[in-house]
Amino acid sequence: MFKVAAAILAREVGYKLLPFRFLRLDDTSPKNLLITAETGEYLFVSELQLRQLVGKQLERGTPLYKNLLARHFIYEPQRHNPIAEIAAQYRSRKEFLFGGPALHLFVVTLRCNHTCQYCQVSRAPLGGSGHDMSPEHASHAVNRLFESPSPVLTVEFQGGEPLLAFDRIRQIVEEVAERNEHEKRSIQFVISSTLHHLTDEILDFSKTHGIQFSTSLDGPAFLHNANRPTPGKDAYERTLKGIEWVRKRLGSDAASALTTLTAKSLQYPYAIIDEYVQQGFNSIALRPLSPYGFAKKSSQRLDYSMAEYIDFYKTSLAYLIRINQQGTYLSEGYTSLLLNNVLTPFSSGYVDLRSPVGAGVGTLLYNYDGDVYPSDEARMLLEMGEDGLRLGYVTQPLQELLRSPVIELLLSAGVAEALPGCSDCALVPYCGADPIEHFARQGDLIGHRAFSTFCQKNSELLTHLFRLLRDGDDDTQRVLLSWLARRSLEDLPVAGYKG
Amino acid sequence: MTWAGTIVLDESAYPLSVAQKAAYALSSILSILISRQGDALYLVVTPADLQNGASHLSEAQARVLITRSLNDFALRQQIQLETSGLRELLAGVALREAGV
Amino acid sequence: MLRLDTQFDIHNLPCTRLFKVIAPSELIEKGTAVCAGDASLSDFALWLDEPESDYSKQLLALPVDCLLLPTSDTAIEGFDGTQLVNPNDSTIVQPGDVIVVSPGSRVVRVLYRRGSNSNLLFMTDRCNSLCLMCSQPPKDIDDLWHVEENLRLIDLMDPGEEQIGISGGEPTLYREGLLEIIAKAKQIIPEKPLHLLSNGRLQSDPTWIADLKAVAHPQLTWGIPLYADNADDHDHVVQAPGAFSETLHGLYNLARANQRIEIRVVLSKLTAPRLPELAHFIFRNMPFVQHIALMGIENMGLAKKHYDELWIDPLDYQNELNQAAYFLDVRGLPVSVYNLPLCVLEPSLYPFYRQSISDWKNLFIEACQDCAVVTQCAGFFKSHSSRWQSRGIHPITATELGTYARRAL
Repeated sequence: MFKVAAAILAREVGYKLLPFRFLRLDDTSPKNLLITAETGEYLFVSELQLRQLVGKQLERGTPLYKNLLARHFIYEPQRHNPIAEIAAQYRSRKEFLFGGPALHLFVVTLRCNHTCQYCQVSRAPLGGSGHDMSPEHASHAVNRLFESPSPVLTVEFQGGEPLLAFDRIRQIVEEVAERNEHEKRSIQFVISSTLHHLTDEILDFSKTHGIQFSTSLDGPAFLHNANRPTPGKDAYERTLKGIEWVRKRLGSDAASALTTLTAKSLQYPYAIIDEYVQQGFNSIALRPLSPYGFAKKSSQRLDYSMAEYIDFYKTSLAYLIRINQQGTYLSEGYTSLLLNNVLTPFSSGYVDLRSPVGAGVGTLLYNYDGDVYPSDEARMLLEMGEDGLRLGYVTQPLQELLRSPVIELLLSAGVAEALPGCSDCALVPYCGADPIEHFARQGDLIGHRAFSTFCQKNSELLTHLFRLLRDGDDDTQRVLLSWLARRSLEDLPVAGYKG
Repeated sequence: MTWAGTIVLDESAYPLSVAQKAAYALSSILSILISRQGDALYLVVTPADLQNGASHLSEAQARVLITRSLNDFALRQQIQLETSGLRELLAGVALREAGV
Repeated sequence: MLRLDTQFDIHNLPCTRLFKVIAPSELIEKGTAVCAGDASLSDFALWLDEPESDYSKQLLALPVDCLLLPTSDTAIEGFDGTQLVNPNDSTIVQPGDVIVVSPGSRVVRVLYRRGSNSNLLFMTDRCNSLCLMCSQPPKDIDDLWHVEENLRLIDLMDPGEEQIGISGGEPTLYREGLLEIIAKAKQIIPEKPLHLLSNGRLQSDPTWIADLKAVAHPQLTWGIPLYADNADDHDHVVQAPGAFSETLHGLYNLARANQRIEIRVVLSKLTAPRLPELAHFIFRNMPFVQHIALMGIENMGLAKKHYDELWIDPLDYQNELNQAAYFLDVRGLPVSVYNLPLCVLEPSLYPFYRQSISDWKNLFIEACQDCAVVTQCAGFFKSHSSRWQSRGIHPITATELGTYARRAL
């Protein structure tokens, strides 16, 4: 039993504690406690070692003592003051705060030829243009984009199916490129598309401006077509044709793909992964359904518990590691960014796993009707009758949009380190806050951590990764590092120090 | 199968905030009501009313979980007391350096 | 392997002088343009290997201040300036070199050797640390005169893109002089990368930041040793309490001043065991570092005295070296391994190996006679002795090399 007693603190000791958190890994390993420092550095220790650490009973000069000192769990008053290093790591992790929104989403139309049951946006018929972004709104949005100070910007076109409003894309890209002659930012264009409406003209234009494509590939034909019905029942075939065409014209890395997992998908982890191998992708993103848009309405048929997703993920990850070891490079997207968060002091660039929250602060979405939202998910809440997360209108200057009470509301619930449940969690340096998802699922921006599927997903996945990092054999370590470093396995003959 | 149990805590060893945090963390599987009587805290525990297997939790298992959770949060409180203010100080130094 | 000093009989030298040694053909072809900076004919020591020839006698009319006669025992008639004759070793000084001579001494020091990969500007013998393995033990003397010598030397170097070191002792002890030298190098020899070896301790003073930003040399790299991830171990190696803290502060200030930084680690029994942990520390806390140099130890100076604390057979730290090098490499930090013979190196480390020992310091031993990789190996320090020799020294056969190459790739 631990007493919160002053007696122990009064004893003359050589070291003092720095703020740190711990998590039980709930297993039989002797080092079943994960301790994490404010910097995000971590160690695995035993129960006894944790008690000794807090009880000031550690022996000076042992390897454990030196590790705790070097990784900022303890410090020695009157000796080296570690604040400079700790601040440097902290700053590095929160660097995304200093640049302004870097991801700008342009919803150029709601028209689409698919009727995906998990679709998170409203859909409009192909023929009309009443759901297209107007040229005026588009120009205003370009102005907003450049009001962000970020030196690196990503412009992502979404919909519906954005290629149906290609003229608008063309206008926006040309305006951005022209302004950038003067602004000189590093800008990447991405189009999120089914690839069913490609033309030579579109590809020529994309080649000129270095535009990349992101598409959905849910798995082999039977799965993809079941998830994503089209009038011709040929979504899969047309998407594959599109991928091939993009690669031929723009290069093999110009098309990336993600899966969206329905309950049916969860039965086919191997088939989905094999499909990605077959189509020559080097990365797959196994993302679970989010609670927005049509997905919410069709929850009877589509929904599955987070626990089921996590089982699927673990099976898939094990399979992925195995095929990587056999010589095929295929990384998993979410795993790679979790590895970045755990193994490096850098922020990952992924806006949905950040503290303070990425929405608004790191991302802006310009809707087809001129409204501005802090993220894609905020827009999708419209489907659920919620427009309360709208920041304003595209004609308002960026400074004004970012001063919207919505931003303050998001920040008040969006600093994980301050939230109940998160503030004590050892995984908080690697995780984030998602007030919008909590609002969608629990009706409350802060949400209750014990009932949060966002928490369940991230804590289970992170814990699983930590166990792999602690116990995984050399080959497993090498595969994970090959994803982190984006290098082939042959280029990584030795995993190196495990930390 | 449902049961109800009571755990009595010495508040000097397990302050209210510790008990509350333990209760919060276990909410998905246990319902815990906290009340104070003199120097003691009374925790009235029942399985949470959900379908995720909580009803399989026996009283003995629940006690083990609660005890562990209480001890863990007590330890966190001890760390927090000793390092209080440092977290804010570190964040302040870091962000000031960056001109925020 | 060639020394940097020898002795000559020196005639008619009124004061300490730097001279650019030059052969007649080059002098006639290029004149003072052979030097990177400000030079006049009086700065030259004309190299005459046939001083009695008619041609040489005509050259005596040139207004050079010095003649260097590598094949003569005596000075010649008909020249009033300084003459250097009767060298102990005629290979040490060659045309293109810059030498310094002083009255009252036969010693001729080569300050700059044409074609060498390791020319350096020596700043001082003083140092504020006292590393256990220091190969250049410090002297507590006033030797500020090195600054002037180096400023003059810069003018007399050949133009060209080879690297120039700045070293000591601790070069930053003469702050103004050092900054002046770096500024002059930027002006006169901007094409030469500068590699400044310093313990970084004095850079904990933040006023250095503005000074360095003002100089803004385009190719200056600071090579700074860090021996541990904790103060106790590092301070023990450098024998200076507080050094770890100062060096870390210095590193952060140098980063603020946009300096390029290399971390150097001398591998010894004191540093090898926690080398992987040090790699982790560097990556987490100083990811802006441009390069990490992991270096075999040189048996010179104070290292000899501290043999028992320092000596570890390199075979016995290959595991730690492997762990550390790949840890850094995977995370995008360039790593190099220096000053070890190839035969003791774990083959997976071959990609990081550099054939590095300064050309005036290295040699090979008898065991190297039949080795297939002797042309790619750094060999040994000239100061090498048997008690500093690994039990693993052996010639590598061509077959072995084939296996290693396949594994390394």
